Amino acid sequence: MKQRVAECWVIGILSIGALFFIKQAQNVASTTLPGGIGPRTFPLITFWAVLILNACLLGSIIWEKVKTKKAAPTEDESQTKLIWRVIPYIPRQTLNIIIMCLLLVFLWRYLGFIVVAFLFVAGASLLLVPEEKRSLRRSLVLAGVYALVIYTLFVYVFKIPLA
Amino acid sequence: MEVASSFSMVMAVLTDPMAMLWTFVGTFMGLVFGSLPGLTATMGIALLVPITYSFPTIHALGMMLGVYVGGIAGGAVAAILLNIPGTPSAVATVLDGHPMAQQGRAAKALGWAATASFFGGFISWLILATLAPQVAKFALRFGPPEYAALALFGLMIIASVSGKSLIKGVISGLIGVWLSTFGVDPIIGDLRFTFGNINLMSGIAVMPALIGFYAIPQILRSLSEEQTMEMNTKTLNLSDFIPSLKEIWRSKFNIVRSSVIGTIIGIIPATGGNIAAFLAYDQAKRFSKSPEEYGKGCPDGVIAPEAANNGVTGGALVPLLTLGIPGDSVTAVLLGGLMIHGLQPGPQLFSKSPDIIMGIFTTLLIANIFMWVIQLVGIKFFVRILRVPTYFLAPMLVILAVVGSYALRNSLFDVWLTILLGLFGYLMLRGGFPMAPTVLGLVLGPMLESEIRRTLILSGGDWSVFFVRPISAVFIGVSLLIALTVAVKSFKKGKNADQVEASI
Repeated sequence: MKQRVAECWVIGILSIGALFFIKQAQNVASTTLPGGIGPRTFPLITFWAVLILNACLLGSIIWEKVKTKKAAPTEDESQTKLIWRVIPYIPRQTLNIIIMCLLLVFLWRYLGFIVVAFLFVAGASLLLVPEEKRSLRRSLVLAGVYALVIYTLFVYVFKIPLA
Repeated sequence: MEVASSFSMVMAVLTDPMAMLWTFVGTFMGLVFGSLPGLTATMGIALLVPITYSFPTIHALGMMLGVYVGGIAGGAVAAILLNIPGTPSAVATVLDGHPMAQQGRAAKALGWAATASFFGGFISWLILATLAPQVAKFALRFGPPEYAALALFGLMIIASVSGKSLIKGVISGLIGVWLSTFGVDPIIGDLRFTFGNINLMSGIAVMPALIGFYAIPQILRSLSEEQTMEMNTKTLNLSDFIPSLKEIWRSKFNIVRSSVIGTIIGIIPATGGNIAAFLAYDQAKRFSKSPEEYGKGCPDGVIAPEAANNGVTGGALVPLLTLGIPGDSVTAVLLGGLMIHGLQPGPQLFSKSPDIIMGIFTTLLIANIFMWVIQLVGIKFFVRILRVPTYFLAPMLVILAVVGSYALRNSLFDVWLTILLGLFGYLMLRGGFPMAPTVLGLVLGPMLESEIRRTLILSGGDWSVFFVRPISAVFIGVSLLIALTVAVKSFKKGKNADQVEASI
């Protein structure tokens, strides 16, 4: 993922979040104690600071962009459609594991820990291993042993229940 | 009386087989995490702290400190054999460690790394045990303004020096502070930003957030990084592994100097093992009779960084234990782990729970001894685990991360939180935002807010109290000075780059 694209995503998410939380801060009690700092003051300072610093960072990115464009627009940029410059490029393997993580948490409630852990490790190791080294039996054995070991360790040794 | 109670605590740890076992397990796991490139001591602690939830405090301390010590020391294995530092603090070890491996002296380099790490850890432990009680006594004078200034100092210094951009560092710190504002207000007790969700009433739990920010992004990144593993193990003759007493004696000044440098650097917040290692390497070269040998496979070039980076472990515990201020991301995660076990580091811990302090000192020393012994006995194992590919490890680490975030409150909400913060952390990592300020912001945010507000309540709203009291004035002054220096430096750097561009 290009650093600039990731930077812009972080700035975007933070700015929208900060604006949303500034609005939400109105719902927090406005009790003011000596010094003028109530329960909403400190968070508001934080959100505004994030907004201002984001604006500064965005300004510096735009300024840099303008400078480099003035020098010479890169071939790469002129040939790439805007949409692909905005959508962050995430390597396939990373994207696979992100989707599987979300599925893992979503299915935990319905299938229980052992089953989801088994499915996740088996699926992930099949997807991530290069094709020439892929082995279904090895992935299944690995996943089964790992899910059972983690479950036994946490539930019986560390006494931490896993649903 | 105090001496007797301290002695009895030391004996209690030494005669408790479970405390010894968990310290051993922690050190071993730390070495595994440290050895594998891409996994760090911070990630190791974040992932392994959940295992200790149900442990008695002293067993948990042993495990956490073991991971810390082992994680820092383990970085040398990959640095020497693969030319890839296992942890950031082992970067300087590559300079002479890998050339030694290329010359067929890998075993010697690994042996020196383990031995120097032990001496570094031991000397820093000595300094910690001597210095920490004195600092804690002094810190008893601190009131709310001093603590507020100290929290600001800790946050500002790490936001300023970590990463390449000051703005990004400060934004990262503010993200942590932002997350710390959820839940019950620390002074009045009103609810903030809970959105009617019962899980948010006690705020965002520190451990799921730490796992999210420290484990998930690193795992995701490791999947997109192809590392060429060319290992120099063909001449790994282990009879050559342990340095003789004569050799150790010959390097005594280098060992002691580097360990002291490491400890001092460790005490200063926002520095860390890599700075200490480079500084010690530079000093060793300066004092050497044959500086031209450095960089070509000189054992002193392995001893200096390894003694220094393990020296940092004891040094970094000084501000953490005496003031409750973590100096870097590893100690921030360690602080999170201590808090889960009901321990609030600070001067009060020394006066109210001297037994815990003695337990920490004892387990730290034992962890250092285990670290040395495990490496001496099991170095072949650590060499072998370097061959485990990332695609096998990543799914297992993800499972450990989600189990860890679930285990604290048996809540799937915490698991969702970990995954979402982890994905955001991955974006941050890719965007060049440093992660350490976020973690510190999360840990220090509540302290910063509550101490500022407490100060203002006590002073009747008078802000000048922060600048009138000398200790808080010094902390605020130093943090502003550092931020200003970094800002001016980066401005000048930008200007110079412009001038170079213009001249081209």
